[in-house]
Amino acid sequence: MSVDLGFITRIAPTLAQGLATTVALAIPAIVLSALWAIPVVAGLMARSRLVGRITADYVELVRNTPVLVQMFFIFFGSGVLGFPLSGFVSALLALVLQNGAYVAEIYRGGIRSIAQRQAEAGVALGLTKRKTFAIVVLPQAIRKVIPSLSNQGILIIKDTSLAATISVAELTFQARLLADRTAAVFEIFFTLALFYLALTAIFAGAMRLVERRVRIA
Amino acid sequence: MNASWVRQVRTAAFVLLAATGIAALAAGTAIAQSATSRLDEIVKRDKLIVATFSTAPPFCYTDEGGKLVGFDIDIAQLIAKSLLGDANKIEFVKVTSEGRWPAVNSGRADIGIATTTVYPDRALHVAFTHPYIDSGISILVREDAKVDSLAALNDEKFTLANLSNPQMADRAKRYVPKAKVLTFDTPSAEFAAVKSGQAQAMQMDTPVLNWYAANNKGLKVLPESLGVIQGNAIFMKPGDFTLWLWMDTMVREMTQGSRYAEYSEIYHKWFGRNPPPERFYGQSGK
Amino acid sequence: MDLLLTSAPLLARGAATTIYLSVVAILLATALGLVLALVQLYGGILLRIVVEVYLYLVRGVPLLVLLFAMYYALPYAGIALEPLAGGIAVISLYFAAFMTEVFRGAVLSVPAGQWDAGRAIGLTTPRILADIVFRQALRVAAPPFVNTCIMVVKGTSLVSIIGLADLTYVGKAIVERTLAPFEIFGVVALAYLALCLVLSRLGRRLETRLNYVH
Repeated sequence: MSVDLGFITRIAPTLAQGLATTVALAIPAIVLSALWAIPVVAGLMARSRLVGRITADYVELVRNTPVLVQMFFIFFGSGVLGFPLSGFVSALLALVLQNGAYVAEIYRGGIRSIAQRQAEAGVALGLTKRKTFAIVVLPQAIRKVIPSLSNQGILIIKDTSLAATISVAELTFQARLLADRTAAVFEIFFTLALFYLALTAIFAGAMRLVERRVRIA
Repeated sequence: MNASWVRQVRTAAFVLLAATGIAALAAGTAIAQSATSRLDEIVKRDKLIVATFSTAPPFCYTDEGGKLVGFDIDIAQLIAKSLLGDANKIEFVKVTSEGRWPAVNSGRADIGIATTTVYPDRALHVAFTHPYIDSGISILVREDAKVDSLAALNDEKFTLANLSNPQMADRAKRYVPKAKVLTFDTPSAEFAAVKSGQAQAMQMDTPVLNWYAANNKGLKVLPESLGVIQGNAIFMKPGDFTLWLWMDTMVREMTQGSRYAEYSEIYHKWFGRNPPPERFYGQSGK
Repeated sequence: MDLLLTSAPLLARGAATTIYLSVVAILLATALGLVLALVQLYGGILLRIVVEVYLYLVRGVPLLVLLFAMYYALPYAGIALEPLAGGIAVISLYFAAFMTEVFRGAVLSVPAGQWDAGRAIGLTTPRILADIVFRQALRVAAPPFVNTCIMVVKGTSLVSIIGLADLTYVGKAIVERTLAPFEIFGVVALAYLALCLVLSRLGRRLETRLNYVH
């Protein structure tokens, strides 16, 4: 068994590039999903039945179709329509549309779970409905949903690997090319798995820190 | 079972895996030599299993009815006929661009005939016969991109569609470094990108591009080729000399010997012209 | 429109593959998930460590990477699997982890009082589990179980990347040939939607049957 540390140094730059792209895709996807979910949950809980129905239909549609199909749809569809979106943008859009719907459901569950009495207490103290929501209900809801959001974030990080199929040069894409170039296929995929384990662990750890900080009310 | 116990187990598992991974990467990989030949297996099984593509016309693609057809397909059938006596004693395994190597190395297929160009770095993980057809790499462009040469394509407003193999990535970097690159799994995906306008050019084997240009409007092949004349060959798992010798002999018989007539017929069917002439040592009287 | 008609047989065959993959993977994942959940709740410390490591690996690595590892890398270690069998194996193993969480969470959510009451009338742990807790746990498990089943259906779309002709693969191949992404992927999306809605409907029926108070 010969030791070839040079091999590792040769493949490291390519994998690092892939890692950078993965992170560059994952972070905006997570942030934008959390933001996009806000109007979605507003739509779901809207007073107008029409708005509620349309939003619910959108949520049902993206929750029941694979992300891969959504990515292909946006990528090829934009090309055919004449304003081709890059693989990166297509993947980002698909991820945000999908996960925004899931996060909206998480928000809704969190808001609903804060006891009715909290809202009534706020009104009893003389706060308007809107102020009650903003000061009393929302902070408690956020604290409650952080674990679920953390899970969703991990799913987003894992789904960035699908972007490889629409030509985004992220981790999985680079690993495949490397595996084709060298004979160490087994080792490279092993390393790929380790990278993702590390990424998700770091993210989960960061979310745990956030959770601890918001717990001290 | 509290959370910190779980975390300790996970950290321990991760560290162990990381250590194993680094150790494995630092070590070399060896290719095993086997005692019996795959050729005997093929004859015993009475069927040849060939790995091929399904989206690379005119070599190996599916027609509208879903049937696998092409130059490579016909060549594979000629080989089956020569080995087993019947052109139908054959089974095709459809693979993707990087799936072709594990297909033969894992034993899923006996050999691969998949418009595969011979390169030294590929020869690290598979064994090639002599080439059975010449190839080269060219670029197909949309006529409305108004590009007439490789130099003109080297501009960041153009996008080039590549196949997901390292040789294409290297060539793109060498010949058109300023152009943007989109990488796909299959030639048909590259071609779809060009047809839809997402890419203005695509890189692929010259015969494939000629076929696309001939069968579609608004596309043309650039006159320069990327590199020199190369060869497409049959590939298989290395270490099996008996299998390789038979396959290589077969290739030479097709291109220069007893099977030249059938080879010419197939060549003519797909490319509309004659293959390079048989070599002549002067004894056959011609 | 006649593109859809000519593509229908190919798409139907792809859909059949997707349905087959989904059903088998759901069955296998559920079975394995049940076993692993029991191990996590009642197994010895060594077994629990093994299961914990397995869950950690599967939940931290993308399904696509696992499929690639099976298809491209495993052959070099001597295990060559066909995309169909290998795909089912990987998908089942992957979602079994999710199922384990669902079942374990459901059992743990049954109030401790139920266990105490059972022990008070002299039942042993397995009996309590089978007769009292199981039914109640099932009620809690039903919604996340159905959600996980839907995830399995969506997960099968990844086999298209290793060349297996499922609904997504067929759709992509037709779109590459004809450049009609809206029509074809539209139909593909509707097909997945239909499949998942059927699962949700079945799930809701299961829930109402379990909620039936005697």
